[in-house]
Amino acid sequence: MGQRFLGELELFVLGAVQRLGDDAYGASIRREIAARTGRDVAIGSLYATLGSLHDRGFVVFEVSDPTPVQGGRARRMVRLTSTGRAALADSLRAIQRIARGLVLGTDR
Amino acid sequence: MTRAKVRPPRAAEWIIKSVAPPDDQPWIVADLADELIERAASQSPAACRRWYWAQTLRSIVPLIWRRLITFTASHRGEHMWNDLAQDLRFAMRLSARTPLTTIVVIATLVLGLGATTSVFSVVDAVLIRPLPFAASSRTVQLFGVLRDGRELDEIAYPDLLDLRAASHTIEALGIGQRAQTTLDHNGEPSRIDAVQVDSGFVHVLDLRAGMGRMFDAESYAVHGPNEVVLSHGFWMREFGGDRSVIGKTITLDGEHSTVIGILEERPFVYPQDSPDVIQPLRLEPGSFFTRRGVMWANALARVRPGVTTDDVGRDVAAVAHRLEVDYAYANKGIGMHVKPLRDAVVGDIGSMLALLTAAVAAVLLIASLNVGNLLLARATARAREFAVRVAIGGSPWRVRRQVLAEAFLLAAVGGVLGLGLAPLITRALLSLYPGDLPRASEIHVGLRALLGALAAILVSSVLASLPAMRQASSSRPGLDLRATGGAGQSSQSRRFGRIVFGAQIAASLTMVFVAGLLVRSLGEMNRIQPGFEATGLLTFIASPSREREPSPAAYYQRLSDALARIPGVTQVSTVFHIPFGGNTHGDVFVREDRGGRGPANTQADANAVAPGFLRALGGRIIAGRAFTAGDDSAGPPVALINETLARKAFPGEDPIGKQIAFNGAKHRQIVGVIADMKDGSLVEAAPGMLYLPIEQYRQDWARRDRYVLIRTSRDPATLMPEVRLVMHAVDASVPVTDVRTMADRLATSAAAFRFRALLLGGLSTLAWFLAIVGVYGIVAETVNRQTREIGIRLALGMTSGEVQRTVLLASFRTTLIGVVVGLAMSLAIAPSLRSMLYGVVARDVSLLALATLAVFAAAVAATFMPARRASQVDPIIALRSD
Repeated sequence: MGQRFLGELELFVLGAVQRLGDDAYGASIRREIAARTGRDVAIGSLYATLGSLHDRGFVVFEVSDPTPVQGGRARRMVRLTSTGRAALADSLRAIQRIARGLVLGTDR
Repeated sequence: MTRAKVRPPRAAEWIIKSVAPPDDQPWIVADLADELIERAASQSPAACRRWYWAQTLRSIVPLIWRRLITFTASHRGEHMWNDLAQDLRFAMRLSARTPLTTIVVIATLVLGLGATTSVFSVVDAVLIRPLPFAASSRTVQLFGVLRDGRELDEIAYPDLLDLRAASHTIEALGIGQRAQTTLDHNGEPSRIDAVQVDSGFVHVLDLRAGMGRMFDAESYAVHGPNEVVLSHGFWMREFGGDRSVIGKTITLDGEHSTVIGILEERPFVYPQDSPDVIQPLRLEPGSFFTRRGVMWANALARVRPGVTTDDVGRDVAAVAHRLEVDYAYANKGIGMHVKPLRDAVVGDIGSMLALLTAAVAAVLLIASLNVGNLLLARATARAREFAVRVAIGGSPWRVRRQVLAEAFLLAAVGGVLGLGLAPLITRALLSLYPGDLPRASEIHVGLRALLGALAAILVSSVLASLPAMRQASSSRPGLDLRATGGAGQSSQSRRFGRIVFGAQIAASLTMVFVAGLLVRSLGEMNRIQPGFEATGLLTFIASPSREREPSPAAYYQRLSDALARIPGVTQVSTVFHIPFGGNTHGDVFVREDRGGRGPANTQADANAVAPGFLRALGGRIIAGRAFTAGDDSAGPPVALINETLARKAFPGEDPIGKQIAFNGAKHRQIVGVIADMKDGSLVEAAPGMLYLPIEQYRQDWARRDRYVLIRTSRDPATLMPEVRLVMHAVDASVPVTDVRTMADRLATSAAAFRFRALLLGGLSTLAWFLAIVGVYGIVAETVNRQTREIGIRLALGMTSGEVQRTVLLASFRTTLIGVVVGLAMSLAIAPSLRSMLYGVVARDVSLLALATLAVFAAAVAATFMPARRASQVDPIIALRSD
């Protein structure tokens, strides 16, 4: 189902998932976004966004084995699909094109 | 490390669990819990909890949005409506199967929602909606302020002219006053209410003619044509809505006036809510009313845009201060301030409406809780059914919708009936509150109230069904299919039951206590002695015209003699002012043994009385003598004072024989002291009052109206037909107004107390009753679920007395918690009620005890029957039961 372009939060989430690779799950994605963009995404927004990315086939979920520490729990890991990777790349290219030549950081 | 100590706040976790899509729910909860633990290592527990709550609240909207999208994507079109219809049909069948509980639930909702809607209508009209005219939010009323802080509605005319010229915050200033005038229409004189206004007043209130025109510049000229604008209501009443009345003349106070227009149907007029006619205010230069220090004008101002009330207040106070300096002889000690007009109109009614709203909200809450508990009980009873549905592939969401449909059905039926009831309740509310409720004419059950009620229905039905929904969808097929209907009351539903139980106890205790305070205040007030004999007394105003009765004194003498001949009448007198009869006239008098003018002189309300007034009113002389026939215009000037004035002006001295200068007469001798009479309010102390013989009273302007007092051994309310005959015989042109028995006047002054006490009494009785029903339902339900357990215990040798005690003790604990919370709430809100109480302290211990007892007894009674039933369980049957 095909909107190709991504919203800002969707972009952040996909970007974080790609960066995290095998270690992408709810909490780590939130942490990654906060560390890189300074934005504290509400957990509900994150899961709502993940849900819609999943509906569009950009990500898949798989449940991991419990982590091997005491009280460790199973996690629902998030993986990028090839369509997801393509969508992320398209959006990033679009951003680069529109950003080229703009001088950043001169206002204020 | 404090790691283990931080746990997710339960309520927040519950919210997240409720709103999250089922697929995501466990992951979200686990993520949050993990991060919470991480944070606990570096942050305080309070900060961690705050973080958790912030996450929760911020997540609600996106999660619900997500669910909506997935829901509409998976349930498309017809399918969805079919499901809905099926749900509703099923809910209907289910409700029909248990008619009694269904009726109780619906009745509960009808009362709750009906009361909410009508109270919201009143609150909306009086407190929330802006006054109905353009720029009303920028309109303020001006008040005079005396040095002791007393606020006066009236301001002197020249002060207002100076203010109009000097103020930089006021855009337009309007001057007006209420007046009464005699209409001579079809040969029958009647007293009607008028408001006299200047052009600024018309502008500020944005008064417009619906037909004809408003006044023009000529109308306000001193010798201009006599013109009048009729109010819409008066025009309909008096002229049957006849358009041809415009341009015709009517006779007001013996003078012909041309009707030039009819006001729009629902205008806002001040200071009189719904006057009959509007007249132009005309002031002859140099006349009494234009003098400094003569305070009579009501003033309104429209302030410039962007200016705050405080700015205007400072501006006005500065002008008043300058006037105090420039015209010390008249303005010394008189300041000015402003209030937003709406606040001035609404007055202290706000706190009462707030109380009412809280009470109604409490009733609605109790009602919703009861309904919720009932739904929960039903859902629990159907645990097996739900489990089967889930086991054969029904989605949990589908099961939840079933419960929701049930709640909506009940709420919708209750809501529709409640809305039907709302206008009736509103009307009852208004009729209980005679005349005094400001903006009463604007109150109606309108769109906003309907929307408010709709919101109440939605919220209460969703609230009510939440626990049942969770119960229904948490079905674990394996467990619940195996369980029999009896054993499976989840700890969740039991916990909800206990919360509902405790909350009802707490809320009803608080309401019973507040109602008790108000009812006791009313009782205390009814015991107050007003200082005169209120029963057997008829009072009214007679207003002889200047033309027909050049000598008022002679007219009143004739009238009194004629009235005294009516059988059963024992005394007739006439006075300027009667207790609880409206405006008094105050002035300063000078003690001649002290001499001189100045701030040391005492201000007193003055009243002029004809012979026989003390006997007619039933007042008492406590020192000296009453007026006699010799105290007439030829006799030496004399005066009576009341106790309060004696204490105030002659502290520690004997006032009898003292001489004062007052009302243009020197050497006026005080000949007696009258016992205090309450005036205007039973609650407040009597004002200082000075009495003069009416024939010795000198007036700056001709005051012709007098109150007529008729003391009778009959029921005074039945006297009026004969009084009217006598009035007609003496002079048919004299109109009679403000006809009321004195007992009625007193009752009106206590109306606010009675209204509050009655309403709160009614609402708290309702709350109390609902709480009993609710508690009974909860305990009965619990006992039902435990039948098997009790059976086993009995089989193992527990006595029935012990069973009874166990059940009672279990609910006793919850009752106790509810009582403690209720007491705390009562103590917390009691101080805010102080202004509504009389003769009882806000935190009255005996009332608290009484309220506790009432609620406790009710709870025990409601618990007792199920407990008894539990003890009579037959073990054999119980064990075999499903």
